[in-house]
Amino acid sequence: MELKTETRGNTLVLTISGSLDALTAPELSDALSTQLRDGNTNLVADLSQLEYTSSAGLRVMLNGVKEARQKGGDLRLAAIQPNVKKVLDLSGFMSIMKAFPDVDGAVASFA
Amino acid sequence: MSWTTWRARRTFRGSLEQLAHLREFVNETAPQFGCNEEDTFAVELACDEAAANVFSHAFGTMPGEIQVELWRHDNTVTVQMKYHGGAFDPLQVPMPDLDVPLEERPIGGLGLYFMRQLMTEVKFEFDTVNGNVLTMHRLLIPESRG
Repeated sequence: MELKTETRGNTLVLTISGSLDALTAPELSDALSTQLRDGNTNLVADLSQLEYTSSAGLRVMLNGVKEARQKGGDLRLAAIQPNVKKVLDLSGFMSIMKAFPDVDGAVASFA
Repeated sequence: MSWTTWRARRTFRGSLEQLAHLREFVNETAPQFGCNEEDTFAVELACDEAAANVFSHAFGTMPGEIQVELWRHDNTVTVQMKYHGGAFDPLQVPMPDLDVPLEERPIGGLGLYFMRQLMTEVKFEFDTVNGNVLTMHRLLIPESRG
């Protein structure tokens, strides 16, 4: 799993690449906690390069959504790939999280 | 054609670093048993969730290993995981209630929920000879049968 961050206006885009599982999810958790602690509460997870997630990755995303909303922001998903979509659908999280077809749309939603 | 002769077995060290290798093993093996993409993904995710629980909780500070065996019988694919260490039943993790609001929902139990959604039957046994044995069956979707 690799993480990259990019600031776009009032929004921070986290690009998550590779696979999220019980080994790699804590790294994403730490990154999200750091951003939220630093006051970056408008967050977009760019999932265009995320090929796989298990429940461990979803738990981190759900925690991110909870914490960002408590601070007045949100964590929104963009460009979800088929295998990740399957897992999100199975979890029921799609009814909770806001998802967009691409990063531009997700960033624009915070404007 | 009988599928009962199709079996594959591999042993993995009991650490989270092995999860990616376990998924690769399932991804390579299940299609050889005639599993289509959907069946293969279901087995891969169920194995990942089960093994992540075992690696995180079963071995403590002791080094452990897990033996994973896959086979197909008629229209059912089976995964069996055997591991020693203390008796650890991954099916005892509480299930999440997906109907409660997000803010009130506890974190955890989702992996077990996935295992039960993806596999037709999941069972756990423990005895002093074989140690812990987790067995998961999945009835293949019609397109994978043949």
